[in-house]
Amino acid sequence: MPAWLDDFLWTYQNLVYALGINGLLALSMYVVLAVGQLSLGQAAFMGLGAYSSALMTLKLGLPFAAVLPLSVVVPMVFALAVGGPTLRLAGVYLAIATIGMGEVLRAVYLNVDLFGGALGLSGIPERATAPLIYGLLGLAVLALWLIGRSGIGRAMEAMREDETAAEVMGVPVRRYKMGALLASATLAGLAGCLSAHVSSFIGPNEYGFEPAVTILSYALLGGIGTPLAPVVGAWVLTLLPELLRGVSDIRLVLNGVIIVLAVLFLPNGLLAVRMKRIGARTAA
Amino acid sequence: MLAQQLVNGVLLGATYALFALGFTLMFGVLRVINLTYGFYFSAGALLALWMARQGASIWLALPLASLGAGCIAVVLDWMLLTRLRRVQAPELSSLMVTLGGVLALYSALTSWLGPDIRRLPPGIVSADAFLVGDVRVTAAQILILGATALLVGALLLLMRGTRLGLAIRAMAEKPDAAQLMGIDTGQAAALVSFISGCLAGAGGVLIGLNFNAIHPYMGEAMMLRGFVVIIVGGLGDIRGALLAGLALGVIEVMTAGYVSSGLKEAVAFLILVAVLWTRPSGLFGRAVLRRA
Amino acid sequence: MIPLLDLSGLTRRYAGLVAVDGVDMQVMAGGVHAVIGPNGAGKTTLFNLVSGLVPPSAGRIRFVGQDVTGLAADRRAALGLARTFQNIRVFAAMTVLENVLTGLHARLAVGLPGVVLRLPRFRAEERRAVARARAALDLVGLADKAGQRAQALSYGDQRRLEIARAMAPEPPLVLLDEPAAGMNPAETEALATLVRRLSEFGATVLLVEHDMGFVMDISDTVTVLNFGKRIYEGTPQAVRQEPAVIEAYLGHKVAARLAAGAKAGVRGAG
Ligand SMILES: Nc1ncnc2c1ncn2[C@@H]1O[C@H](COP(=O)(O)OP(=O)(O)O)[C@@H](O)[C@H]1O
Ligand SMILES: [Mg+2]
Repeated sequence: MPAWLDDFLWTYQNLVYALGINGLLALSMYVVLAVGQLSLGQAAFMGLGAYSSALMTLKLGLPFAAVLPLSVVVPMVFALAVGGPTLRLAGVYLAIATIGMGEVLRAVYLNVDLFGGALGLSGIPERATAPLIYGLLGLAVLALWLIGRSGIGRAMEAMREDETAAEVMGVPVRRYKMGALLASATLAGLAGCLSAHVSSFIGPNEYGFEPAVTILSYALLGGIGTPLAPVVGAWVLTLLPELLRGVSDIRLVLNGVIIVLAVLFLPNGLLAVRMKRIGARTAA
Repeated sequence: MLAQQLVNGVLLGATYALFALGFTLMFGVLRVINLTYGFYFSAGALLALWMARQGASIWLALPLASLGAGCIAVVLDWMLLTRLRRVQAPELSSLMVTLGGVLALYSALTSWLGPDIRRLPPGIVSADAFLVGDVRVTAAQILILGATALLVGALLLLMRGTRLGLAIRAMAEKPDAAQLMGIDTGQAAALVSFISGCLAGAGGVLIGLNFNAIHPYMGEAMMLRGFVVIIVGGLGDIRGALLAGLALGVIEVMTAGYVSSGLKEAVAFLILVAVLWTRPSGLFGRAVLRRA
Repeated sequence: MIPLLDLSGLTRRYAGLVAVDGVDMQVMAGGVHAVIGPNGAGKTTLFNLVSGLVPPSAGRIRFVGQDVTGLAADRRAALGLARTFQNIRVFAAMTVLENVLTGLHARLAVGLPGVVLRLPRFRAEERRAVARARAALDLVGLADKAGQRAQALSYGDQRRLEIARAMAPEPPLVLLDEPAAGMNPAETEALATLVRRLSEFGATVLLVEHDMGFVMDISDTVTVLNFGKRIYEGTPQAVRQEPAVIEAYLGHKVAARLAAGAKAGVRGAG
């Protein structure tokens, strides 16, 4: 590695990690939005992945090669428990239940000794690396891209446009919604595990209401036409406070305003392209 | 001991009910889960605090703060939701827009005022307490119960006994028909937002009194209880919200008293998940689950 | 011969009213079966019950000899039950061809591994699907608009797109909810021809329509609903002369006068 690159990576190490991890979080938002659902539990799933993996490393001494895949288990269990009853109902129920889940988990981390209370967990060894993070991000984008191009992606877009009509066309909407939520929990859980194992410390406030809404702003800024769009959204919103000094103080205000503006004026996001799939080419 | 817990539970539940009432009214009529609702609660409490520091008595600060929160609600509804209502956007868009709005508001307020917990000036309500048998009731608690009863009574009277209430109920039942009958939906939306905002603002002042802890994010902390109460009571069901709010308060206090105070925070969510699994249309079964 | 669709005691209650009230009805394979009745008679609710969008309060639904009462809508679609909607519900941002391909979703055996790995079997299947979708577009006369966005189509074309989307999987039964609504006479005429061709293609058609001329022209059997109840069933000729039907449409007095006078049709009512 040339010396300047080494220098650069050293100086901006945390930013490099954050870009990759936030990209994964943006994808975890994307998969549920792509089937027309709104889950606000991505930060909570991330927290579950972070706490469960940190405990596996610290208390059980498991190797990271085992901890990383196991970190998706607890988030998936919570996704099943919350998605099971709500995905049968109108979309607002999933949104409400997942916000609620985030609030409660924060209170639990604060009040239960195992999770270290307000101090959180520290001394987590730095096991994740930038190549690992970006490798997983690349794999996730590729898999979601291939799915998006296929008949499943077409069915997902149909669900987003009109769930009832899609269901009558034979799209198994309940199964796809659950699948999307589980995929979302998996991606967020992995992001949580990775972030815990690069930052050595985790605390309850990293997974509360503000991060949950911030993750939504990634996907809404980029758009959800293709899986790359939300990742770009995440990168813009992660870099902006670093590039503009003044922005970092009002970072959260900005994220909130972006959501408002995107919903009102830019419903397809900045990268409003549709997936290229069979039959999707428009002719005049 | 049990009697004391019950009284504390009912008092806590009364504020939950008061908070959730406006929330469920908003959903019932405007068909939007409006997440800026928690902000009116914070705003009410902070306004009352500011007035109290200027020397206003609680009898002045409570109603003025409540009205102020109502006005904020009208402005926010107008800014965030009129456009989406006009194009009949999907309800998740409305939910997202209010979510973005409320994050911006909370963070702006926090960076302006700081995140610290503030206290009302001492003596704003008398520190007296009364003993009824061996149950201790403070003057603040009596004020809370009285104000809640008054506001709930006024709301029910408005909804059941006036032409305005009839129009609001017509909008809740059949929005298209209501429009045909000549009800101006824009005005009605403003009115319902105002009423809801007033209820939330009053709730904020009263909770601020009860716990004597006021901070910008206090409304956000209340939202989980709000969700539980309106879903358990049935989305849009006023009577259901009232009963569910009281029940939640009692259950929380009992859990903290007899099980563990750590579990108190989780109990609301456990109830929420249990109700969603078993009776998603709410205890009284009137909520709209899905529109075909 | 067992009926293709067999409803027994089908009932749906809403707060304060019974939208569909103990309906017994059989649809035999082949031909066109119409359901008529005044506005609010419960026709759309009946279709929602049959297609699985609304659970019944009582009663049973059998389709191709199988009890489907508790089955989700997508499973019924997979069994070969297709439908269109009274208020058009095309996927607006998608192309016409993609809309029809979505109608074939249940026919595609797309497993996740096949999709992600782009196995040859998956590609072959997509090609077959496109061929079938184009055939369905041909049937309704939209082949030359396959590449347009659905939202760019005219109202009549969107209705025909819905029919193509429903017909692509070659379902044994297709439900059409007011297919002629909002169409001009020429378009209605073309639609009548199309519906007859659907049954020639092997699909049984169950349709709701207000245009009596249209109904009388193309149906083999007519079922009449009023206030959620089935009040009559018979051939189009018999329905025209049935006093109970005339009364449901025109009210008691007119019906009495008609019965006293010449035998008149109910053409154009509703
Ligand atoms: N989701 C619903 N909630 C309450 N009432 C409904 C609902 N759907 C239909 N209805 C009522 O059921 C009756 C039948 O409606 P519908 O089936 O649409 O009639 P049609 O299609 O024959 O005009 C009407 O009175 C209508 O208002
Ligand atoms: Mg109808």
